[in-house]
Amino acid sequence: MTDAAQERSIKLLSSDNETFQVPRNVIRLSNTINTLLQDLGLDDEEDAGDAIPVQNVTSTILKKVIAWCQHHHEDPVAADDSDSREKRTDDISSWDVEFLKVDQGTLFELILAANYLDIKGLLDVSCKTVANMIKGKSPEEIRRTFNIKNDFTPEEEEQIRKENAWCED
Amino acid sequence: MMIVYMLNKLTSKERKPTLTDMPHIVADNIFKNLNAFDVCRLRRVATGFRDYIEKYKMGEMDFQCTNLTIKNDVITTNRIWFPYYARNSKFMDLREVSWPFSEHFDLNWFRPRYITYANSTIFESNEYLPKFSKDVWMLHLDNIINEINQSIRKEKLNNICKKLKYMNELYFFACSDNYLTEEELATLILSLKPRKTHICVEFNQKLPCLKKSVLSAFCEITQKTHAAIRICHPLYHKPKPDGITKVEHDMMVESFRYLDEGDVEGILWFLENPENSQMYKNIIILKCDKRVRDEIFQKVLEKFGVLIPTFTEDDISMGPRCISMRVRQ
Repeated sequence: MTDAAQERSIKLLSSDNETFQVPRNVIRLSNTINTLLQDLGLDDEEDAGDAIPVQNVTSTILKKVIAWCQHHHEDPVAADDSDSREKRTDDISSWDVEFLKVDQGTLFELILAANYLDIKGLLDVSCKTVANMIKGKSPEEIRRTFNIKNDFTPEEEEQIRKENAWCED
Repeated sequence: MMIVYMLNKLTSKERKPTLTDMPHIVADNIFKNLNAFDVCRLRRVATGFRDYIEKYKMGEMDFQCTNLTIKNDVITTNRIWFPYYARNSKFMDLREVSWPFSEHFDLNWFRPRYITYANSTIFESNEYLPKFSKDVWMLHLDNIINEINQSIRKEKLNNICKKLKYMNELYFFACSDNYLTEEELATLILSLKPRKTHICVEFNQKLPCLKKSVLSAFCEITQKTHAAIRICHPLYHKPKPDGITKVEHDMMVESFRYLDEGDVEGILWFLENPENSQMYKNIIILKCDKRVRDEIFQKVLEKFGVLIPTFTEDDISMGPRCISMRVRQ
């Protein structure tokens, strides 16, 4: 991407038909948009033309996604392979912690949007947030947290309880 | 008009997504942050989670040790568990399978500080085992072994190879009942990170580990790493103070029959390589019956005249013993 291209803006169209003007160097965090622009040969175009439809993302969520990208677009590129790093969920920046203090529905919408737009940083941090909501909780607490119905039969429940005895002493 | 519009908007508003709506790639991203305990508790939440975890074999390589005690440099534990989903979705208590700590591993050779999977520490032993200083990884290969579909099998193997690259020290544990082909085992071994690496291959039945291609893979990696190699038979790993049963005896005899000329050839090739024989003190701990052992010993003696069996047994029914061949140092 050329410097000129980075300084330009592109338009994104949410699923509820709201248009957002986003600096190119901000939305570069989305691999989906990057690929789309490159494939369509619009990356170096002066005018990227019509708004790019982001069909699966509502305006409310797209606005938040853009805000996240705006805050993080100058972050150094993270190492690619997570396998080589220690798995941690306590390394979420305070800004991200505040950013992700949203209701659960919004959090999962953000995750789906990050997944759809292929924004790795946002996907990772939001998934870590959900993982933190699971960690250390009993099955019943997890059910309550995520409003999940226990659909085990008593026999199944007893069976799985026995199998899991090792981790519940 | 506005009221109708608002009503439409409200009634048509889609339900907000929940945890159970997440696609696999997202669920995987969430769950990879959980340790074995969290995964097992998650498994109890609802059938969907149980099925997901079993389908994707989550936690398969995680394990936990508790109640560890050390006496005279021997680790004993009555609680080593493997969340194990391979067959019949059962957890397997490692007490029921071979566990070689006290039987074949002196602690000078094998000193885990902590046990970890995918860089998540499952068991931190600093507090209890201050002498331990090495990272040790443990692989359970049944995930591959039980896979019949060749392309999936290859993919699983590749995934493990990828993980192996990040391991500093490796205790290479292929459980009994396993069967990796020579090529597969060689592939795994060759993917080891070229650092000091401890390798132990447990095997059973077909003994593919002793074939030349596998041993040469061992050599290739260990020449880079100055590693020690020990090859053991799993049936011996479980201490049997009262001796072994007739059934176990027969099983051993049966399994040893598979040690054929190819195995002998492989061992000899291994020993013939001067670099190998000069590098290691203990090259192979080999389990075999007396006939085959004598055959190997004889051939090695003919070629080198330097074989020093550290201890031997005349009758495998005497119980768990190992044959350690020590060659030039």
